[in-house]
Amino acid sequence: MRRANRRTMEDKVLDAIIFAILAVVFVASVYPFFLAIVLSFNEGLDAQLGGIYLWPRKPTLQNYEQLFKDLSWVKAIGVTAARTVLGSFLTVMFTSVVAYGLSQRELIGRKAYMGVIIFAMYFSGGIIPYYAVLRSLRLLNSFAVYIAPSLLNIFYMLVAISFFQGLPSELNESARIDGAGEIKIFSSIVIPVSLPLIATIAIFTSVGHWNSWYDSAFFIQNDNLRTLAYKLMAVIRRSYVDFNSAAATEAGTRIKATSLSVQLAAMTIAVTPILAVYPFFQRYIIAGTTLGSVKG
Amino acid sequence: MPFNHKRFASLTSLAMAIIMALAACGNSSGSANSGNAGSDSPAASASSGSSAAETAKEAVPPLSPDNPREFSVLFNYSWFPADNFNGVIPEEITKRLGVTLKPSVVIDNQQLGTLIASGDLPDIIATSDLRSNLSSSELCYDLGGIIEQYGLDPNLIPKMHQASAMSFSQDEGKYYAVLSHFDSTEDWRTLENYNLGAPTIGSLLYRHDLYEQMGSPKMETMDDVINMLLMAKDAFPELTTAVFIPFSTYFEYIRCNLGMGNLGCTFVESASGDWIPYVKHENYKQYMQYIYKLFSAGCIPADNWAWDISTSASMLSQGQAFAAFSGCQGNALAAQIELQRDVDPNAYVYEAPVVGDPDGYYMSDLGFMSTFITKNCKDPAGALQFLAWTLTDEGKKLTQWGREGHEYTLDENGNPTFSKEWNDAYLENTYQEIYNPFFYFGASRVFEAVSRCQDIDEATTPNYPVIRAHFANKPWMSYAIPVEGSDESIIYNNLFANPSGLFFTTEIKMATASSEEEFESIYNSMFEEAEKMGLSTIEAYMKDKINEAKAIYGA
Repeated sequence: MRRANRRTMEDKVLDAIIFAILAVVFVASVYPFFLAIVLSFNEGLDAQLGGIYLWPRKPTLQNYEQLFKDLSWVKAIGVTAARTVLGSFLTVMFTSVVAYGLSQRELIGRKAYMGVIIFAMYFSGGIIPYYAVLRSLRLLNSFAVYIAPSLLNIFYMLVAISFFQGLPSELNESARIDGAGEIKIFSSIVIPVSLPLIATIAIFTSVGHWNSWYDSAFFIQNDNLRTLAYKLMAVIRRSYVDFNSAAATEAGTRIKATSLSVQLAAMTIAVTPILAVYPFFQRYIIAGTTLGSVKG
Repeated sequence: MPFNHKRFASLTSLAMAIIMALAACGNSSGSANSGNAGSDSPAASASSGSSAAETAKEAVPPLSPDNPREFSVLFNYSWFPADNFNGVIPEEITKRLGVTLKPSVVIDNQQLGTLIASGDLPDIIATSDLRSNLSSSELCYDLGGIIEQYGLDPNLIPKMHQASAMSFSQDEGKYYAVLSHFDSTEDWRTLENYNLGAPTIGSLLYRHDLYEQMGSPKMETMDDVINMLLMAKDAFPELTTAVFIPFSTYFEYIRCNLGMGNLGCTFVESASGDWIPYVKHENYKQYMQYIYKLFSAGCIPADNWAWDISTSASMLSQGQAFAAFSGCQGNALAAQIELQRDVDPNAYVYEAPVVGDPDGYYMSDLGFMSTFITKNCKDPAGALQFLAWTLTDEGKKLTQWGREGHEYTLDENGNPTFSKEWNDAYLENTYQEIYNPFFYFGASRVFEAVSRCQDIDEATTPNYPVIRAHFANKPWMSYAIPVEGSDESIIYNNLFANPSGLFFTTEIKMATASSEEEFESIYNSMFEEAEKMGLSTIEAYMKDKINEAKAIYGA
């Protein structure tokens, strides 16, 4: 037995190659983040000159101070955290309820519902009709605009339908025999066995909420409701000049664009919390990525 | 308990009903405005038409602290640093006029288009884009119409501004915008009275301390300047010889000295006085050859075309470059201050002299920012009075210089001297937080130049007196540019758009050609391609329009 487990030279070479490739992939994946963090702790003008690879050349906390002395960043963190927690929770609930309903083959008009939903998934009205819908629903300039439009995610719903259809029908039947209603079956039987699904939807939805700036830019005018990603985008876009406009010379010669270091400090602030949460959901994500891929 | 189909179907249907409610394209009519500018859609306001006339019968309260007014303003520039109305200058505006602004700044270039389409416009919009869309009675007030309806002073907006704003108007004879930074050649001549400053036009900044180490080679012609840069390449190989700000000030210094005006002059005045595409100017090939020469000698890095503004600017100020193609108005001093602070206390930055045709220092400028009063504004006469006030000397001075006696004092000749705090704030880049001098809807570039060049030792800027004496604004070329959306504008943009048009993209290939033969080949094929894309058509169009515009401006 011991002899059978002995690793041959071929195994060792193969392992070395695999480790080498993985090391390259690891460095290629992690180094950009690492460098961004390093540059965010470096003095701005100096960072523009390049040549910084592993450690700040002129270390400073000034880039972070510059952001945090602006209280609107603190507010933005609060708004973003609130929309992420509330939005993710409600999206998971709403999506799974609808998916559960649509996964039941007995549902009357199921094909019609699916047809409408899939049509809506493929064909978007575009930003202006969307804006008009939000206005008619009185969602503009309110916190609800971050939550309501994404309550139902069609893609996750399709994944969830597939997942629910793969659950053994005996689970539901035995619960019904024991006198459970649909709500009871869903909350006490289906949800507990669907944790990988729920965790996967939750984490991807959370990332989406955390990174979303578009809705804050287009549908919000109240500065107290700005999100972190919006603030980050605003910092980055301060360096953007449309050279085709009459403003190009004005901007080019006089406006001191936000330094790369401040942009990266903003990015670090925006990314760190969601990055910290990821490892806790990792096992669910791995399980979740194959959800619905095999139908029995 | 048997499966309750009825209950299950009911529950699912309820959930579906909620989905449909959220997903359906609802009826937007009768919607409430959650924005900042009232509830009526522009179309509704425009169609009602009579409401403004009814208001006109009432006297318009003057701008006064006793008549507080608040207007929402959208700045359609993602880089614009006016996201709040705090600071010395905004407070003084409110104190003097009773006007408070609620500013917002876009971060995406689709935002204004969305607002226009949805009708949720703020009271006032300041933009350089979508001007012809906004110059429509459906969306914005015709300023002449407000003046007439409310019995305001017919000269509230200067005639030159009216004519310029008409260039992008959809309605014949109507103007919808107040222009900032629009100064005639005569306005620019007043700079000579101040005896300081220069317009924001191309300049070459260089390390004068290193230049002296090279024995101060002569700089009397453009060839001398190019040779001086080639010498610097050999003398200081550790430095990047020259950097530039891509597509902004770019190589304007060379252009101007070759008689071709600034980068915005897509059509230029030829020796015979005709207006021709800049690529057909007699010195255009020479202009490109200078850039090619610098690149092929390794004086300018290829990466520079991809750098942003701050990267280009920091190369000189952080001691990494010998020279920078930049702009006038204090950039040399700003670079020198950072250079002395961070790198070498004995470093000096000078601007290269004018070495060519001083009459080549011109631009075609209709101003930088166009400000519109939208139909959502409930007090268009008040808004117009405020915008017109920014065009007055008092308005320009307050919005651009601060308060007399505090931020500046005037001598007996009217020349300002700025306070140490003001100058320090500019040098330390804290002027936004302290003074916030960005609500300059009617600002003057001349006033701006005076304030920005106060501390400059003109020994370091030998180009300024020459530029002051010769600089001209020739707005008729910009006036003639085809209105957005027209067939001519498609041809114009395909050829001249900065940086995506044929000429800009080909110029990069030309500048970075691997040999002189390749340079020639690219140069010749550019014209062939341009002809196929309609160069002759747009040339004929522009020739007629420029003549028409010159008549309007009395040129």
